[in-house]
Amino acid sequence: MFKRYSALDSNYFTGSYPFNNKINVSFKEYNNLNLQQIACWPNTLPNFESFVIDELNLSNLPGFNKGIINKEFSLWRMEPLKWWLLNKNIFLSENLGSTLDMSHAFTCLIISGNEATSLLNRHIPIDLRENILSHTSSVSSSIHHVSIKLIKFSNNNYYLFIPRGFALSIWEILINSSKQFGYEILER
Amino acid sequence: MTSFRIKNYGKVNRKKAISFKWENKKYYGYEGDSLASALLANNIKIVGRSFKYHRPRGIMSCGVEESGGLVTIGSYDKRDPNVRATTQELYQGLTAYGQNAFPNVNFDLGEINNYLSRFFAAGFYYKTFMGIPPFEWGTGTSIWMVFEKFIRKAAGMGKLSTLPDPDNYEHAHDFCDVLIVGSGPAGIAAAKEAADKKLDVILVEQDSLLGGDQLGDRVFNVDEVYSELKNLNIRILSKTTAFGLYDNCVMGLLEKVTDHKAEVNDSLPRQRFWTIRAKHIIIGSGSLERHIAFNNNDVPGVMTVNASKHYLNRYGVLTGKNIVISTNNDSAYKTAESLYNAGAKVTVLDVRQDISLPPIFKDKIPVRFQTVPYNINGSRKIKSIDLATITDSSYKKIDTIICDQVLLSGGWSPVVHLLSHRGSSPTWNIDNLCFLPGNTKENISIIGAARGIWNREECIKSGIAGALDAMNKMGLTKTNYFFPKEGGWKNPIHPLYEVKHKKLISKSFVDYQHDVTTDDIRLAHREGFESVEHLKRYTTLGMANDQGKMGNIIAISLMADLLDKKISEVGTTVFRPPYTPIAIGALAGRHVGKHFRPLRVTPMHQWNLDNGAVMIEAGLYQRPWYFPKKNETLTDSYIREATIVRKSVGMCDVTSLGKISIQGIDSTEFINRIYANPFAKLPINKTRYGIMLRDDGIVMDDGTSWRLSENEYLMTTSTAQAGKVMSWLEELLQTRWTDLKVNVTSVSEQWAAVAISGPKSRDVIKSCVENSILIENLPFMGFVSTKLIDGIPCRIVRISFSGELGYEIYIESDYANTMMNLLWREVKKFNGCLYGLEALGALRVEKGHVTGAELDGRVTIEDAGLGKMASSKKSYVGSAMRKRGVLNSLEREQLVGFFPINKKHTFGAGTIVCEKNSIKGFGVGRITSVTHSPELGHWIGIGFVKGGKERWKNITLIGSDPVRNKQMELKVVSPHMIDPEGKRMHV
Repeated sequence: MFKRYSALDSNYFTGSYPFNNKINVSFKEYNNLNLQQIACWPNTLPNFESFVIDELNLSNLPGFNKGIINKEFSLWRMEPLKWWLLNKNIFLSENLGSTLDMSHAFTCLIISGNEATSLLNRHIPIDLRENILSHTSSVSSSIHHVSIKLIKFSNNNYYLFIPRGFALSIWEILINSSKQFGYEILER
Repeated sequence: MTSFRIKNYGKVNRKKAISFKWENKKYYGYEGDSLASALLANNIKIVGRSFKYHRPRGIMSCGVEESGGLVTIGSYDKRDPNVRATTQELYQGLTAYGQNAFPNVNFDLGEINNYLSRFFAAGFYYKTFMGIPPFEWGTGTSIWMVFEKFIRKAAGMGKLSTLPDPDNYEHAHDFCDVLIVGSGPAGIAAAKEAADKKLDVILVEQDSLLGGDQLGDRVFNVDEVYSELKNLNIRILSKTTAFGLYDNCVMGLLEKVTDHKAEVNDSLPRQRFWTIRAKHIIIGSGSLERHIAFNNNDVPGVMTVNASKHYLNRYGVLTGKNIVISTNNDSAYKTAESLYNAGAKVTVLDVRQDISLPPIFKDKIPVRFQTVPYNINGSRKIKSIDLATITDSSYKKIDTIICDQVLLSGGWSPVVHLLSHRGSSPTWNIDNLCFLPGNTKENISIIGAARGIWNREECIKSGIAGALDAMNKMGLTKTNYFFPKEGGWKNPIHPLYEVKHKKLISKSFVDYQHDVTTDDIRLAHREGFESVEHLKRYTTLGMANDQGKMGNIIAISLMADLLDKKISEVGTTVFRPPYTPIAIGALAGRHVGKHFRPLRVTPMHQWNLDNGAVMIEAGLYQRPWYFPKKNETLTDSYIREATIVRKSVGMCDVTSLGKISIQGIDSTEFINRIYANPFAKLPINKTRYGIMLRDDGIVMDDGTSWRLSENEYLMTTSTAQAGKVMSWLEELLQTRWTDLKVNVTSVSEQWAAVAISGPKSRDVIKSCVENSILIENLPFMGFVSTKLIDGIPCRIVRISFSGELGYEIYIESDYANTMMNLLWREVKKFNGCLYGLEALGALRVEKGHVTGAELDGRVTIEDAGLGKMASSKKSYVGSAMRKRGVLNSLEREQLVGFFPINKKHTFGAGTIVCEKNSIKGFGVGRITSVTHSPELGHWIGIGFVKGGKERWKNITLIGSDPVRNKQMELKVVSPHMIDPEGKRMHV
């Protein structure tokens, strides 16, 4: 494994930054992201689904904007015919679809804490309430005009995927708006 | 504290005194005071001066409609003008000043305008400064332009700080089932009912306390209400104004987060701009009490009746000791009783005939029926009031009463603004003399006084009905319910808008801030400005800070009278957001300064900075511009960098190029349809330059595509067009070629890229990879997937933008720094350099390579001199339309190079190329890119000229640059100025 340089290296300062003695948001960069995009076409979907279910030993594939979390990996249907496989890679026949490594394309932030949803809604105009966007769901939106993907692992626990080139800028904005909640930056 | 602050009244915290400064003098108030209540408690009557006549202005209300008490808060970079004293919470150390006065509000030299007021009537500016009477000298725009700067200097109230705003602002989003605006009796009832039915409720209140009009009750427990609502899980946003209602129940709101705090923690924003999306909106925004127009109705001490009640019961401030109340409705009597009980002497004037009243109004509070206020005596404070009665439809003075305060209640106007934002016109209600909210089919309910309901019990019922209405409209229930009827007073209201004085010119104000009088309304009518929209613009009525909240109805009634129409026929002006003023900073949120736009950096951004790069914005990207050595200028630096590239080797971060992965068994067919030149037979491990056209045959973008495998390509695009090309490919696959099995994905962020250019580039790369033989044998436009010497996988393509032997290395982004360190170590061994965008541009201009400056959306493939590349055997996007005659005319401008005749001359991009005897218009061509050519030793350019190079052989043209006021002689040359045969890059 070669050393990977994060987009946040110059501004990732671990520690606690409380407000009124409280920490309500935690940040942790997902280190060494392993992200594989797998995709198919409408008429290869049935065979593709069967193959992926077998390959990953699943009972079914997640629905649109939903995910499945396993011990070793998670699978997310980000677009109707595109899935993201985190922490695992598979090989796909060209007749079924295509795979693409996107591990370096995004900076992934794990954002959690009591005010994680409030913080995200300072920037993202998406209804993140639990009864609207349940856990193991994903959404596409934008922060400061930059398109992002957001995965809700559980209530107040999110994976935020920022295009790598914008990550530093968005990171600074997130940190600024987290000051009002009190935040901590955890070791990667 | 003072004789105006009375014991046992109010909800302020008397245990906590707060000091503040007014006009540089220290005063005290209490926690819970507004600035207005603290000023009144300290017997400060004059708080500002009016706009035109500089007349003294006092506090006239207790809410957002305030038109008199507009003050400046803070100093230096925190100076904030036109703050309503009535809504500004008092805090320790607050400093406030009056406005529009010199040297101060108590003695203002500008008051001379008051004596010249007959010259400042409506339309004064238009009449005077667009042609000066009597001879209309200097008519037209030019004379207006002369005076405009003086008028602008005199205009406006308060003075903004010119320093950068030190505060933070932010945007926020939220969602709910029901959003309720207003926490009066109706709003609270609606919130409880909706929450009780398990709906997710947000309750918004512009005040710092919940309660609405109930805050004016002597007994009202705010904390109890608050905890009751909290127990129902109702989310409460206080100090938050709903300023605009938009499509699909989207509400814009402004929360004042720290405006009330003495010491601000910079972790908190000053204000928060909310966008709340609800399934249903319930508007309980209440109503505003109206003034009455009569002579000198603006003297400090004039106030609405209900405001006085609020000052008494909320703040414990008795606003006068000898009070005259003038009313045309029942609402004033409760206040009269409260004021009397608090120790004031009270007299009530009621325009109506005798009505039944409680005994107190016979025994202790005199009521004079069919009596109206006629004139106030006094200028800086009220000395007495003249009373009048109606005789033969005119008013006759009958008496004078000594008093120190005049309270007015000319009726109530429901706050219909938010619904009006949705395009629903309010309708005039003749029984209650007010505009009521119009109809809407949207998920919006109106409740309480905003619906024209004056009775508190009925308001509560309307709140419950509003919640049930919400549930029905959301499809959750089918409950039967009804809204109480509007109105609710025992005795009908009687119209009373203006008491006309006999004086030829009276000071009977309608808009207090802008000094619009009833005479101005009449003047506007005489001069033909009869529509309310024209009236508003001609007189500036309702264009001030209060946006007509105080005066609009009076003006409309006068106009109706003058036109001999009903008020319903005249209508009202259109209300638009925002309901109350919003700081520009709040609109910007966190998108300021460094984060005005999102910053995009390459994976080697820090590496470039660490190695001396000066950055430049290229779109959103930060790109290395040049790498100066000691004391080098930009020109020195890029000439040095370009020279080294031509002689030895240089490396340049080219990550910003767009990169698109194209995968699938139909990829070759897809890419062959996209590009104008043939791609079907591109071998694996080869790269080809391609040009894609728009449907209309114009060039969209150029770039290269690499065949990675049988069914996979990597397409590169120009930096500027990366997003557009990606969208275009998606659109084609989703709408036009749905049968193709192709996936396209942007991988611009996945890959970092560096260009290694120059005669020594091959040597550099060979020493950086595991297998140097691969590089030795790599043909021009070939590429190889290999590994750097430390084992990191990379892709290397032999390609040249500079015209020299060149390569581009693509590596996964997180490894970019490692790659740069490795390459730079080797480049230095050859006395090579880092080069930036400026040198990159110089090298490509010398070579005649086009970029976005040339491919500007007007250029065909033939214009760019690349027509021969286009396939004649296949169909591709734009292939039919590019054959149109107009796109193939010999008269079209074609790509050429330009040299100055005098080699010492320079020219700039944008220079228009003209014939010697016709230096005008669009000329015969244009220069799009220029540089000093280190290789040729003089200035060069590329651009377009009609007919191309052959047309202008041996003809001297003129470069005209009217912007820089320059002209120079030019000759047209081939755009390929260096190594036209391409020997260097094929070496």
